[in-house]
Amino acid sequence: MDIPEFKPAFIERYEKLLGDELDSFLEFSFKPLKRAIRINTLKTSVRGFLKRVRERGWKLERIPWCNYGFWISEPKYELGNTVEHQLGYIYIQEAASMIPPIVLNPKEHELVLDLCASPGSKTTQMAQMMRNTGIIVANDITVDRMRPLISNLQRCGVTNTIVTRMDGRFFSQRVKQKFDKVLVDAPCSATGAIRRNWEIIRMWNPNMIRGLSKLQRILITSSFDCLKEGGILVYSTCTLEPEENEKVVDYLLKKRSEAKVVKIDVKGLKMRSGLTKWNGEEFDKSVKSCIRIYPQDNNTEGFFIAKVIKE
Amino acid sequence: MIEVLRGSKKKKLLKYLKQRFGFDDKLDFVFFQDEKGRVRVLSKDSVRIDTTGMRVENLGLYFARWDRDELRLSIEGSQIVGKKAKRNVVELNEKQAMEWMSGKNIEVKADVEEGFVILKYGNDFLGCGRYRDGRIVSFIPKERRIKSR
Repeated sequence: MDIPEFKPAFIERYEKLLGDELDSFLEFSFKPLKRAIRINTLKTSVRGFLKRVRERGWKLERIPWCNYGFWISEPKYELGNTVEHQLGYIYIQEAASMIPPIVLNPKEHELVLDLCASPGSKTTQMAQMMRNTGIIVANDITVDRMRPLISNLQRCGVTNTIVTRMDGRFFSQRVKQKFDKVLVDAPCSATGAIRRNWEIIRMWNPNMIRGLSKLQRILITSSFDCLKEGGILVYSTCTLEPEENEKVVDYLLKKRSEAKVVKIDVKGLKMRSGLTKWNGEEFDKSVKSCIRIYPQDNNTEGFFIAKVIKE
Repeated sequence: MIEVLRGSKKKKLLKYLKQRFGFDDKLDFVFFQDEKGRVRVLSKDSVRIDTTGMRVENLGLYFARWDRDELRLSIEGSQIVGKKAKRNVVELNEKQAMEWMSGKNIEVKADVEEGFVILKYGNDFLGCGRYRDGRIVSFIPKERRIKSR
């Protein structure tokens, strides 16, 4: 596949966003992603699995922010076609994608909503963090997104999940149940994940960002309304666009006075503060406590994560 | 239509697991069964959730399916039951395990009864197959098979 060219508007925008780091961002956006796996502790132990695969010549390096996450350099063949994958001992998951569940930190016996769950990477990770107790309602919107979600939940041996197919924008209006924790890994323009799919460069345009931002503002508000008092919401995207990130959190803070941004601390992860200004707009100062992860920071995909408590 | 398994229906399932596989451990789940005889298991914490207004597509884990009066365990069902199973478990060698995982039926000499058996290789439980006359018929779903490299 030919390397696509960035649109001038993209370069102009990202220069404004990243300053001197633009070149580094672009360089990393074309570097292949390091393959990563999450050991599924619902079916095996980290120690037992490492012993098993090291004997077979697998080369693994622990991901600093995730005890059960590993970068893998050997074997070179497709990991999806291994016994370990098919028996559900591993989930192939990008290293940065493991962070939102770590930030949400679901506990045993809690009730959790995963609003945009498919294909289930974060849902299955949360299930293992909860040791298959409590309940996760794993929601997504379309029929075609159900199949990979259900299939991954099955393969990983998840017994604490109810899968629903609903429009996340109206979830809080239709459902009475309130949750201890909610994860919204929102649909986004994915500019942090260009290294996964160069097509993102071709698809990018400012109108798309405006449209997504509107959708995300409705999703974050609907999901916040699903929380119990004292509940925690984690909002994440794999884009670096402020309109899809800080602006969305700022919107929630303006709409819901009981929403407060909480500081995020993830050991072993290089991260940056959220922006409080963009394109002449000022956001609530507390948005600074959100985190931005750039591809060049930890050699991963880029991510944005916000943690909000309902007081 | 899906129903919660209670009373005699739940007892029938547990009795089958005990008689067929010598499994008498606790299964700490809520059991569901649909009209096709598929049994699913869900965390007991589900009793705390109000699903009013939810459009539910799937509940918990596909555990097994009734095939007339026999229970065919899913791969995950075999992993749950297998650890505590005392009979009708067939130990495979590496070659047989790889054949099984690629979806092939396998020829074995095993001291097991005719009917559904759990397949095992080392510490791995590989699902359930039907044993008859020295042959085990595979039920590994296509999407779970290993393709030749």
